[in-house]
Amino acid sequence: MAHPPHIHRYITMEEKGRPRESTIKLIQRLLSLIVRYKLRLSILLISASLSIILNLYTPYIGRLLIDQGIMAANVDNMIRYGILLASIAFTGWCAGVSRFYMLSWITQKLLYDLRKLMFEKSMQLDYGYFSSIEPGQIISRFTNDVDTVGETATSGLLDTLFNSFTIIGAIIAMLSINWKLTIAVFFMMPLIIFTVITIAERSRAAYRVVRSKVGELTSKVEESISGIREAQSYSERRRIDVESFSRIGLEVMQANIRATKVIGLMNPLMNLIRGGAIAIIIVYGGYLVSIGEATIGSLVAFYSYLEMFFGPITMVALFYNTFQSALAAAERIFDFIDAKPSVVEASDAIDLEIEKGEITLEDVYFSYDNTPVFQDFNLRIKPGEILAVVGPTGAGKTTLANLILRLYDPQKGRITVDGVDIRKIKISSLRRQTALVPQEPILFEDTVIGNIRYGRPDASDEEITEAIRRLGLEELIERLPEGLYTRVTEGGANLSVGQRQLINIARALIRNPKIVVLDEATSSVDPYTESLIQKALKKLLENRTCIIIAHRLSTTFLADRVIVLENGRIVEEGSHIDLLRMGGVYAKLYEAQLGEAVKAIRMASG
Amino acid sequence: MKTSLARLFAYMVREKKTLASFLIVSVTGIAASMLVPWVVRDMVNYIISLIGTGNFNLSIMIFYASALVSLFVASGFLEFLDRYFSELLSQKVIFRLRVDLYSHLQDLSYGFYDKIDTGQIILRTTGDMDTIGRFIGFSFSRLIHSILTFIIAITILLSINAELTVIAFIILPLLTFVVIVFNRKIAPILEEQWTVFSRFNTVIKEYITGMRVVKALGLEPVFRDNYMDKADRVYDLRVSFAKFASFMWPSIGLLSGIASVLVYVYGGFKVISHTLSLGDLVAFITYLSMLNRPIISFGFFIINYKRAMVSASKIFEVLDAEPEVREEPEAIELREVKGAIEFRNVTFGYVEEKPVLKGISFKIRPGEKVAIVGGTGSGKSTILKLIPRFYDPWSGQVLIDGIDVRKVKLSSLRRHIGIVHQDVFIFSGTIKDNIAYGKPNAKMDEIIEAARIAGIHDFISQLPRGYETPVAERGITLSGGQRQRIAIARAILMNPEILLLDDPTSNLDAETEARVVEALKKLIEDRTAIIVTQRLSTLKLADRILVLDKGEIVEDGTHEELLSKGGVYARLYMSQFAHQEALLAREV
Repeated sequence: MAHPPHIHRYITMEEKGRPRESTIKLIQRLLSLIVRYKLRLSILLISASLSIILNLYTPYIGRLLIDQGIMAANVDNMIRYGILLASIAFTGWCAGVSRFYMLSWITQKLLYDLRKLMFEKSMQLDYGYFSSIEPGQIISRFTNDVDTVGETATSGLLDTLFNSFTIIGAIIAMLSINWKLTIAVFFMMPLIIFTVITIAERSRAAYRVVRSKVGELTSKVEESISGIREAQSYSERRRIDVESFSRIGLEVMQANIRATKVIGLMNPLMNLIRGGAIAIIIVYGGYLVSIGEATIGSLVAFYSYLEMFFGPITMVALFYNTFQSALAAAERIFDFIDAKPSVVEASDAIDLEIEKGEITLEDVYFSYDNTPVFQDFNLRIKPGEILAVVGPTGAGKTTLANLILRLYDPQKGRITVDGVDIRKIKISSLRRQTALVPQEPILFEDTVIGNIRYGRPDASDEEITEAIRRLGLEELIERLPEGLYTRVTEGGANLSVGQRQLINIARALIRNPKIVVLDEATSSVDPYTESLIQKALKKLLENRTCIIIAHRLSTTFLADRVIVLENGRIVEEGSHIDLLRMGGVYAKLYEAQLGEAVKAIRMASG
Repeated sequence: MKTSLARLFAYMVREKKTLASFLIVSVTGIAASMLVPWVVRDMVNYIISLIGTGNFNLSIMIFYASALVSLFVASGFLEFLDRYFSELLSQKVIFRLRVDLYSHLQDLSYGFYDKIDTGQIILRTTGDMDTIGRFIGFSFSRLIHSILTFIIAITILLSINAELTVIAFIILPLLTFVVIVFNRKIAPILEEQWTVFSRFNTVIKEYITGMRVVKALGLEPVFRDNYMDKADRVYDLRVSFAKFASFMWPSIGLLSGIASVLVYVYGGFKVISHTLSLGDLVAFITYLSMLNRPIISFGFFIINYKRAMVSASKIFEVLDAEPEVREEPEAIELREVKGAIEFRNVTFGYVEEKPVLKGISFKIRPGEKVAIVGGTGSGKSTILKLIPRFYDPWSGQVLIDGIDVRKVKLSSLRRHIGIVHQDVFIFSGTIKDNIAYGKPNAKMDEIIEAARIAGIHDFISQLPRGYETPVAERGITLSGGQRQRIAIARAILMNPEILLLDDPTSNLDAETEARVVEALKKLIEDRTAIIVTQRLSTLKLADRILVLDKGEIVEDGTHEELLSKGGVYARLYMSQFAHQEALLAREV
């Protein structure tokens, strides 16, 4: 007998814990998702029931064909039952097609709707939510978890329902043919369930080992390839690396073979049990035939029902085994869908054209988890002012930028732009007029020009070329293999750090924002590129209100005013030169960052 | 060039024993399962003879039952072995392929890695290998089964009754037709589904990891369009796959159902007319139903075959890539090195017709310390890469102690050269492993001595687990300065005559930089060193400076000479610190 096709998937499925919520509640919610597809769901239920009934009916007709047709040498009966069987097969075909199609349709539609729902949710959720959970986990909700919910939790649930119908139907049919024989055969039942569950559990443990070994292998390759330049500098490494890779490869192989041995036992053991059941039918059934209590046709039919019983019972037992972890995936998705955004657009929010670009923070209180980052924080940024924010890690520099961009909302106090509370402004309207240049440049899989266009999706090619010219980047772009149309590989791996930063600056410029938040890059680049970046930044900051988060103090000289933050408070404030003269915190920081270079210049020129 | 299939097959044939065991077990297993209906036939005929006689012979029935049960047990056991050997075969092939691929990847030169993306290579050793593994362990073994089952079943069917076989096989071409049509329709759908789905995942990954920028720039609608576009496509493809698939399965059921009705009715006539026994008829139908599975498997085989060949060709593509830098057969062992380096008219570039170095010549004496400066793309780091032969020049020569590096065995050449990169790669393992990276058999006191010179020993000893502290993925994160000093310790332990420093302090803050420079100073003592740098502090380590501009050496001299000359160097030098003029003005 064949392994049902998804037996392997049920066993190898990745497990991630068990759900907190009660099973019943989660099942109810899953069902509520598919109940929406009323029409398709009813067609599915009808066609599934029909195909199950017809399936169960076939051996019965077969029995009549043998007993009343062939054995009774009655040609009329034989032809009648033959035609009946053929028409049952045809109707069964129609029901089967519709059943398979409807089930797939519902699964795919559910997957699609869930994906859409989750994306819409992700648009409402604020940045705070995303920064509190590891990106990998959220990505896996969008990918693996959705698939698991669609294919295992939902479609598996329906499949199991139909399988149970078949099992019950087969039992009833067997009982009606011969109850004595049925009871005799059913002594095997506990053995079947025990076998399936034990093997499934063991093999899941074995596949867990396989997964972890494959993980080891992957990280070995990842490391070897990322470090290949280092490795090739040391001639001793080749032998060692190949040896250790072979060792892991061997372990992967052994783990796989061990897992195969466990799962491979399933069929032989089920066969053994089936063999036992068949032996009972033959010996006991043969006896019943000989004393006239059963017919030969009924024995053949009985055997067919037994086969109909064996397939689904394995599936049901296996499904039970993985259902819990499928429900846990469902729960993670529901948690995501139910998450409450903390940055919400007010219903009476307005469209605001920012005229001046004046920003104020009034008595702002903000905390991530009850330890305040800012308390009664006040700051005013004049229209067109360039403000640099300096301070040690954890002082609140990035938080300040995030608050101004309304990536977070303060718990108390307010932030205004041109005198309007930013919570009263439509989020889209605020976003359109602000720009962020992130610390780590972000590149998407697109062309260079496509990446710049993320700044303003309706920007024309001419506008982008013009922006590039204004930033003084023509030469840099020309050096790329296909200029502006060079494809950027994942994460911008084919571009240098400096090129990535410049693309991010161009992306901000093309928006023509009123307010710019510049998160200074930490990784340094060669002097030529550095000077390009400095020039480009000057252009970007012109005539706009700018907040610079200065990690390396490499851009503070561009600022009109520098504020030094410590534990959420402004401890120094003034121009770059003033603060240096003051000889306080800023001067010390500056000395530490650039002192060596300053000393050297002094030496060289003196 | 042999096809991917032939090459894959060669790998399978190498596992002679496993392959032979698999074939033997398969044939025996199929034969055992084929005996079942045979026994059933005799048994049915016997039971029929009993009807109404009341003459029940328990021992005969037990004989039939135990014959059947032992056949079940035997075929089950053989099926287990079959599965075991096919998995063993596939795992062995994958293992060899993986090791071959990995070893080859170690030999491929920089040029290869410039063009390919890391993710792609990782996919070759994981995803593509799995596809091939499934193909050999599952599809291939199923195909062998299908063929064997088919041959044996048809032979038996013919021996039972030729006429019935013909009747039954009226349906067979139809069945085959269904499977073939199905395959032709779904293969492209599956292919497209594959690519669309991987693109869909990339969109999700970029969207989630870039969330701060997405939110700050209000890019959600752009991503929604992109995301929904892919989601729509995935949905469309899956539903159109479902359309074909939902016809496929019931159709096979229908056709085989009709075949058995035909056999039943026609066979029934024969039973009535006593030209066929009922047992024969039942056996015939059982054999007939045994053919369903092979036909379906064959359909699956075609799909998996295509996918496996795509994966195999990708793997063989990497295996066929020739390392651009190759060792000459008569290459010599480089024993004693004094450390003189010479570039003679070297021209080299990464992209055809775009040379990065244009006929460069210079000489470095043993023990001399030379800094190379220049703007982006001027070719500074490229010079370093030509010395250990990570690339070979297009024309001209690179010589060490007067010997062309291409005349020297690669391993012996690289043994004399130490490199400290801009970004130090820290491998997973302990700190000790990382320092001893280039000299895995180094003694503990050597390692500690190297760490001491590199100025990282104090830091390591204050860690609770000292040198045994795990780093990288599973351990502590090292700061930029610590990584650099580990790299320096690595180089010290190797004790090379020549050192290449590729901007080793560029990612450090000033305080750390000072300490790293201290360590570098000790490292390059008594060795020839070439330093590519943009930092003044490292520049000062050099006795001589080469200034590169657009692939040519434009200036050559000491720091003071070049500065007073007021040329490219002086300008470059000032521009790096231009923004500090205000500060300088105040202080001077």
